Amino acid sequence: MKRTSQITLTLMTAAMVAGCAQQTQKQRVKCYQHPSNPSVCSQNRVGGYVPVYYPMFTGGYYYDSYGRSYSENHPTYKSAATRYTATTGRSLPSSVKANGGSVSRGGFGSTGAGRSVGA
Amino acid sequence: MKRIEHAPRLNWEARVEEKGMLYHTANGVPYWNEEAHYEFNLDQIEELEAATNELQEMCIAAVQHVIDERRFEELAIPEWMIPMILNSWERDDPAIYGRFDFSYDGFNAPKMLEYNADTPTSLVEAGLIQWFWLQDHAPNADQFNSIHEKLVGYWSFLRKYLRGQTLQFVSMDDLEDVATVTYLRDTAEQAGLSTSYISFDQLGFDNDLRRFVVARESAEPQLIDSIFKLYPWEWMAHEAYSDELIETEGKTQWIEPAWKMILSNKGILPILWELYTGHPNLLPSYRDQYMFRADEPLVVKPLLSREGANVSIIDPYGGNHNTSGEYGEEGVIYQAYHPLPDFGGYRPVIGSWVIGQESAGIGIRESAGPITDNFSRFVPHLFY
Repeated sequence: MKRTSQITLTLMTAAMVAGCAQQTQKQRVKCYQHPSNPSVCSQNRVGGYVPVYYPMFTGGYYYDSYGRSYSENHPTYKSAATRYTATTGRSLPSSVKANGGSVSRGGFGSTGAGRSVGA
Repeated sequence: MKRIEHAPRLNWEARVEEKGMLYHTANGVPYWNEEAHYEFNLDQIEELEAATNELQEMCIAAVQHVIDERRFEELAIPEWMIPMILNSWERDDPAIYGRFDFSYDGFNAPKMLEYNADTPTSLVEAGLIQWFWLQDHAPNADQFNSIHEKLVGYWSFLRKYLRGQTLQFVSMDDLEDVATVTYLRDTAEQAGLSTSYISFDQLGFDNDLRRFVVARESAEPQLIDSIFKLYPWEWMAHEAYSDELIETEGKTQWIEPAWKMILSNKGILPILWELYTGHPNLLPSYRDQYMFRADEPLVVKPLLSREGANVSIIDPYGGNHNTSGEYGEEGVIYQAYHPLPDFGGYRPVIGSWVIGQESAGIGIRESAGPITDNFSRFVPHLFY
């Protein structure tokens, strides 16, 4: 009546989390974020992907962690920061970044940085 | 209702980890505490279930009242969010969950302390971890817990109302938050939904298409039609994408919906008391302190605080207690002080879950002090 009779899990699988329990907090987060790929928990993982996003602006082009240019053949990225201050006067994050020519990101999450969102 | 102490399972850390709880210990102190459990009888469980269902109905009526009477200012809801709230309410946008917090001693009626209707956590502990604990500890006992199957069932019900092919999930890069979202994804996928996860730094906005997109650095942006966010509406309303949020209203389907801003706000407590004065599951609550006698113990709660932050107990007889935090600028409410029951120095709060619109089970967090904060510990329960 008030009781679950059986629980099966797919993403929260034993294999996924068991391999991650001994890892660092940051690696554990990655275990949850990539549940279908337990190899993300391996601290010895090597490869070409740098799991940090740091766009660089050079002469009209943005480059990502791979050194690839994103803004070619796209409209000029309009700074979200400019728009927000002009229209609303609301809080402005320091982390609005360009991903592609016309795509911004980082517009949510500033308040929650470093604290729990749970209630 | 009893608190019963016992030895934990020998390998309890591994047992909870293998079910997905990697945050069972914080700063060397177990947050998941299975050195005790609470035991209820069936009457008590049915009382909690009935109170939860009745309060949920009252809360829905209170939302309609706030909308009809335009009482948004009392809740410090920004003007620019009101159309989004109204539209999400009119469309009956999908809402999946919420958690009432009760003070309950097993004898007197449960009293609603607040409603965490937007971003409730401890879902993994309540829905999963304590259920598996029961299988090991007392498999013949019962537990008020159908959270998992109700989640799967409700996602299945919502399938026809969700937009797009994939339900996107987004959270901060916090271990508990990501675990909560992963569990919700798990239940959604078991209901037949296709899901995907991003952290907030991968949530983007396409300035040409004027739509929110998944903006991973290694892939082309993908339009988001429906998205579950584990992030409070009141924060989103003041962050940089608030313009885009309003502009895309009706194009991106947000879960929980914007109308949950009304219920996840402590300002709903005085409104509920006004609408249902004297209800046995409510505590007297007001916007003005002078509504209480000077010798009456009361609790001051910010409209938007989280995890017990910035709560003050003003008790002329028992002394005052305060918690620190960063909330309160938006205003406060005053609620009659109803001390948590004391079980040998442990004070439990009953978190009573609503899945869809229905009571689904409980989880218990206990503290040593009178205010349940983020140092509280989760303790499992059972009933016979």
